[in-house]
Amino acid sequence: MTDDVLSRAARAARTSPEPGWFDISATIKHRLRSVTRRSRPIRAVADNGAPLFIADRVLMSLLSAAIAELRCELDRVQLIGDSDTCTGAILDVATLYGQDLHDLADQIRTTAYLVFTDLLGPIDPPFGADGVDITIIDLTTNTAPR
Amino acid sequence: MFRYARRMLNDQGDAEEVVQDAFVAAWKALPDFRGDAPLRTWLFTVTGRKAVDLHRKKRAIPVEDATLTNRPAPGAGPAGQAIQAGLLAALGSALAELPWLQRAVWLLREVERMSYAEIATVLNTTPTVVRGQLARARAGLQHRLEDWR
Repeated sequence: MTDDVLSRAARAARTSPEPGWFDISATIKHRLRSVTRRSRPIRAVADNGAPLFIADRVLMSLLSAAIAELRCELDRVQLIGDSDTCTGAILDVATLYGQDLHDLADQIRTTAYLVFTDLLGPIDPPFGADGVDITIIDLTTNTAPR
Repeated sequence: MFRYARRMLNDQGDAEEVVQDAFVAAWKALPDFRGDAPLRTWLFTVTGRKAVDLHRKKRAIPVEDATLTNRPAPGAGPAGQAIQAGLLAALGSALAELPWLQRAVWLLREVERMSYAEIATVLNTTPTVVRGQLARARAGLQHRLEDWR
């Protein structure tokens, strides 16, 4: 049967090692290590009062992890502020259906502000949890958002 | 991804270029990856787009008929390996003659074992179109691999 030939061909294509893949994967890894992603520096203060800068990517990564603890998923972060200062943020979040969204937004706001103060140090002027706006962009019935 | 690109483009060097570009593009876009589709599906989508870009830059190269039919006699030499290698070469040539979408659908379904829905996501089409294209691809490959029965 020709169908058997197609099945055999598909199986052979699936199981045969790809020629040259070992060298190619090494080349790809080498190239990826040299690829940079753009990031915006955010002014922060070290424990000893010295100024330092934190990449916004680090901030977003920590925000995402902290918000995931609330069974929400951070979709987008917009940092508010001039140049390298952060004076507030807008967070787009997806979460589970059936919750009190006002309470949840308050929790997210508080959690997010803690991340800001932990990472950036004393914020001057402090924008407080009220400086963090939350937008619920999606509701899902899955146990984990999206 | 490399296997998919190599079979789509029928060229090892082009596949290498495509997979490198796909990984770099994926790495840069990773912060924007929303998780609407599984990571594997997303990576195949990126690879497919890069392959299309490269394919459009190049002209199609006709396949010689002999590639489709010259095969070792069953049982000759280390028969299993030789026949499998020959079959793979014939498959590659037969795939190269299929229209782009049929080739992609067949590879994603039969080699990468994706569902119709996943293939539809990768190729930005519908599961119904995937079914139709798969049937045509199978018929086309059956015809081209007739001598391997």
